[in-house]
Amino acid sequence: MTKCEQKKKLTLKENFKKNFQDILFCVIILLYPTIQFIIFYLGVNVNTIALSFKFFDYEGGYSFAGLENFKLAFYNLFNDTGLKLAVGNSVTYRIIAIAVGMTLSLMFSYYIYLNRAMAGFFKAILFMPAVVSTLVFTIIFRKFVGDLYSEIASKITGEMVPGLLATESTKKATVFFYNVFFGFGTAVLLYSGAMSGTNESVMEYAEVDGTNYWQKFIYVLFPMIFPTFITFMVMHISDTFMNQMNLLGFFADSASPKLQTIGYFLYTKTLKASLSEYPLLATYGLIFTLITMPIVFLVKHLLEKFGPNAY
Amino acid sequence: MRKKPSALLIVLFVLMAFIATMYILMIVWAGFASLKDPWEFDDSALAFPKIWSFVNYASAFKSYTVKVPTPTGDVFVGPVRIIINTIFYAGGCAFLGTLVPCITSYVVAKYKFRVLKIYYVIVVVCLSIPIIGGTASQLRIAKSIGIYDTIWGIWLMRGYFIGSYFLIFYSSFMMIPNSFSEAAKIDGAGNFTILFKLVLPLISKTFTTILLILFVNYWNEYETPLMFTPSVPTLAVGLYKFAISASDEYGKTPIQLAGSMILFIPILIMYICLQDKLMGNISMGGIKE
Repeated sequence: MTKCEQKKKLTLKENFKKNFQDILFCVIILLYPTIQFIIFYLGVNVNTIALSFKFFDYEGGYSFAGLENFKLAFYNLFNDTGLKLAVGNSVTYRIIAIAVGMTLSLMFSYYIYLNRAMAGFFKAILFMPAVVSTLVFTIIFRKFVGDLYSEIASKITGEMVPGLLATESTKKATVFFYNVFFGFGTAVLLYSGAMSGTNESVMEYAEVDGTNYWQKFIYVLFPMIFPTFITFMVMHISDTFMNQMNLLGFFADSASPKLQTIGYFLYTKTLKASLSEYPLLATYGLIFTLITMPIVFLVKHLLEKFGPNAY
Repeated sequence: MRKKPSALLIVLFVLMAFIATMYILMIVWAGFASLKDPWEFDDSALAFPKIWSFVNYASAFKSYTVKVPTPTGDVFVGPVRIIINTIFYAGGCAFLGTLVPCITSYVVAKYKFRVLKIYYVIVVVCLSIPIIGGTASQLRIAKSIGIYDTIWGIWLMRGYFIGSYFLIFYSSFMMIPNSFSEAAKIDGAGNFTILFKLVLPLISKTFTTILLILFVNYWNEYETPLMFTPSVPTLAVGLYKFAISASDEYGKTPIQLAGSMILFIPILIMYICLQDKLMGNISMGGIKE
């Protein structure tokens, strides 16, 4: 052993002795989070992958099934009308949520940031559905567009009008509307928080330059809060095949296949599933993860590369 | 000088006023409808109640009874037990869900061992990867390690450090100068004393905000307890079971709305009282300077 190596070894030993208390503290603090992560994140995801290659037999338990689950899952995805509709609904709702929900959230946050008339009240009201139980709002909304709407519409038209959730033609639009209408809370809170953290003098310069409110938003404020916008966009896309559109609160576990999303489909199937159904459900999950992941990374990359730059 | 009204701001004001009015109208209507006699409601959903039927609330409270299948037969869990379950469920999950990312991020932010940075990388990577359909696997693992259908089991599942709260705590800890803890160390304070007596009080506002947000989320949650703790129903599960019940006795709309109000009113009061804390200035994603 050279002198240098001996010295290095000695320093490491000394360092360890010196830092022993700190090391022990870190180990104690991180012990539970690490075990939790290994079991409930790594374990669960490795198990999902493993399950998708397995077959369950009540006599022999789980055994290797090769790609059979994937074959069946892809066959269902291309041939099962319910699954095809669920994919369509998930994507359609996501597009609406981004185009309408996200745009309005941004604009509402801008109004709140400018602290115009009743801004504080609007912020509190828009955030309320994020705090109060979604299930409560869903039940109230269901009755509101059911019994109450039917009564008012019948009085106006003079003939019996069914509730908006009672007819196939209005059901889907009503559920989409509900989800966008009650989904501003967290986005408005975080966007307005990000806006209030921006440099005010930049906005003041823009005002001196004679820009109007729209120009100030598009050319000054939006570029400054762009990282928050990217975070939300990533969250939105990640949520595409997980979102249940509150269908459980509207229709329990028996929503019409025409309304179902992949999130709802997977949840309700898992809720009632037996051990033999877990492998196929895990396979669906894996397939949708593999579809979503590259889209998330691509969108994030494109937004970071081509998004507006702050001044 | 008064600023000129802008068309954009007028449109935004009108839109938000419409949404706010709709929210308030819905809640007020539900409040009145929950006080109607079920037969009176059948006549008109719109009219004010002629007789204030507070008995709906008693009926709704009683209806917060969940039938739980057990190996020895069905057991009925009553409203008092359900409230206790909800407090334990929401309280435990929120406490661990706040404490774990908090102390993990503290160690990662404040201790300069290179290996600790792995935890930061894990959080960032896991937040970027959407995992879909892991529930079947979660169920299988929960059953195999014996934590399925137990409230402490769900606490363990919810006490994770991966998530945006880790990053929020991390940035809070990074803002605290190291000189604070160095001074405390010179005075003879140990690592635990520094963490619990010096650093945690400094970030107590962030800690309380996250704790409250999580408490409210778990109080309202019904999908997870429905799946993972079927024998330990919470208020939200009770409402879910009762609101979708088609039986004549409990299926009446005013009673269902009264049941919703029972879950809604405590959270509304909490929201009004702790609005500033719940809407605390938590930022995510950052801003460009």
